[in-house]
Amino acid sequence: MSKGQFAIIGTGEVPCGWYPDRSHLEIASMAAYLAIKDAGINKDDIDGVLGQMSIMGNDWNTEVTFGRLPEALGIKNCKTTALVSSGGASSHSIRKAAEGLLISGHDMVLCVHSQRFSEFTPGQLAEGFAKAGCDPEWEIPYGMSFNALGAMVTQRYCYETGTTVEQVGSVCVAARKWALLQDNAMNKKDLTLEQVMGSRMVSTPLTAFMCNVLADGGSAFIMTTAERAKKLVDKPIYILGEGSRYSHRNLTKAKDLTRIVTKPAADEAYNKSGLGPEDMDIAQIYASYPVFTLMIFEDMGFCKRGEAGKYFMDGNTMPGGKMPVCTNGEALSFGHTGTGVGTALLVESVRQLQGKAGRAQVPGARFLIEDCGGGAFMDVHCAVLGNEIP
Amino acid sequence: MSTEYNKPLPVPQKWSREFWKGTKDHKFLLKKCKDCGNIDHPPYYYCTECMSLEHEWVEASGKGTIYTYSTTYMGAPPVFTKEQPFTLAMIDLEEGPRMLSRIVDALPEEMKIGADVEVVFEDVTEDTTLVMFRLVK
Repeated sequence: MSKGQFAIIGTGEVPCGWYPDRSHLEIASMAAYLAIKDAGINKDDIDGVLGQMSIMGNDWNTEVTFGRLPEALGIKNCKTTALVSSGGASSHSIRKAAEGLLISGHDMVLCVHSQRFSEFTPGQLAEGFAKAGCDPEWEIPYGMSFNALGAMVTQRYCYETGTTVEQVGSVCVAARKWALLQDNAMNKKDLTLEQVMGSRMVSTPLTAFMCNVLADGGSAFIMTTAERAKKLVDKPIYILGEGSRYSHRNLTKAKDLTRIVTKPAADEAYNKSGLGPEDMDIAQIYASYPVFTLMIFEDMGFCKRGEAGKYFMDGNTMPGGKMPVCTNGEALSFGHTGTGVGTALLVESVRQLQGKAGRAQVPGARFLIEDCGGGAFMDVHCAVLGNEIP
Repeated sequence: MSTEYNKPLPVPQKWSREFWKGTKDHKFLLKKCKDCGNIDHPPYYYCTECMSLEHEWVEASGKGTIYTYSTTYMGAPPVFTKEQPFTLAMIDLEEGPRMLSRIVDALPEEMKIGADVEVVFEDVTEDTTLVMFRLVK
């Protein structure tokens, strides 16, 4: 990919939360409808439709795999449809698949995520996520859970860097402040550090408010080449640079548990864009657990190792702060929609750069870095986005 | 040992059966490459370093240190909730690999990164024995 070769031209998003009456197809249809209307394009110009996997939603995954989306969305000129996913890194994998289509005979690709969790009990969800995050032979028999994965990383990161658990908790407070500015966010009430620290202990040192809440939700975005985008819309958002690294499946095989693999991925994205951390107006970090926000923020170059905790605690990343982070409130406060957390952040990134972020708008935002990662923190994908090609 | 054991049991791959046979005899075996000496844990089909198919099972010392840990008080998968709180840890084995396991017979406040641990064999069913650890006090 060369710098600014591809662009996102429209986005759509449905409210995130517990909506048992809303089907997968309804979520996908609403998100796609909004994205097409937002881009202001003719749906017949779309010739590729990609769907993201729904966690535990096997019937929906089958529907997407067997071609439901183009038919339901009236994409009459569709050439290719597919299910594309890699856990929390799905916003990346679906984008890469779209880029692949765009360089091989397609003009415009619609990417859709739809997730329902409200059909499951908390126990089923705990079990389902344990299976997603942990090894069935070597970890699950011991009672592993996704929260325990996040907890063990937190424990080790605090040990190595001297970061306090309160500082880790302050990430959740900042996330909530942003979510309060988002109409589609699941959580609508303010959250204090006292509440975070005082909530029930889940897996030491993580309390309940440091663990994200699963929710129904979905979003969509439309991608095309930059050349075409400029002719079609006023504010295409360009993908200026990308970088990726894979680390492991089982967390015990992580190359570096408390740094994961952000730095090389972020450096690659910066290098390709010709920009650096000092040029970024926002950092959109897929974390799912607050410790990852800190370590990824550091390795994106915004803070030295071990200093992010204080930086967050001092309020620098909150609305009005000098370095806004996760302007939709991320999994912790916007809501955790399975493989869609990164997609929601990508959609929010585009809105910010288009000046369409409403109450959460960061004034004059031009460039930002976003990342996503999946599985048991198996990979990191960074992208630098901008509303101009520098 | 109980016939009513309702928790998930490891379903071995063809190449890990020896490991589980070993634990049943209270032996902690690791899959070591005969060509390059690499130990894969978890084991895979071929050596993940050099792709050799030749390997031997070597007995581990059962000693290691705690790399990180967490005590789960709530939110474990339903079949484990009755055991809460329980402590999971990543152990750096003397032989090199890091593995996930349960720490038994320890209070949550006794847990410490860097603490020495030793292997304990837990016969959870007639056919399955899990490798767990306890603090060396």
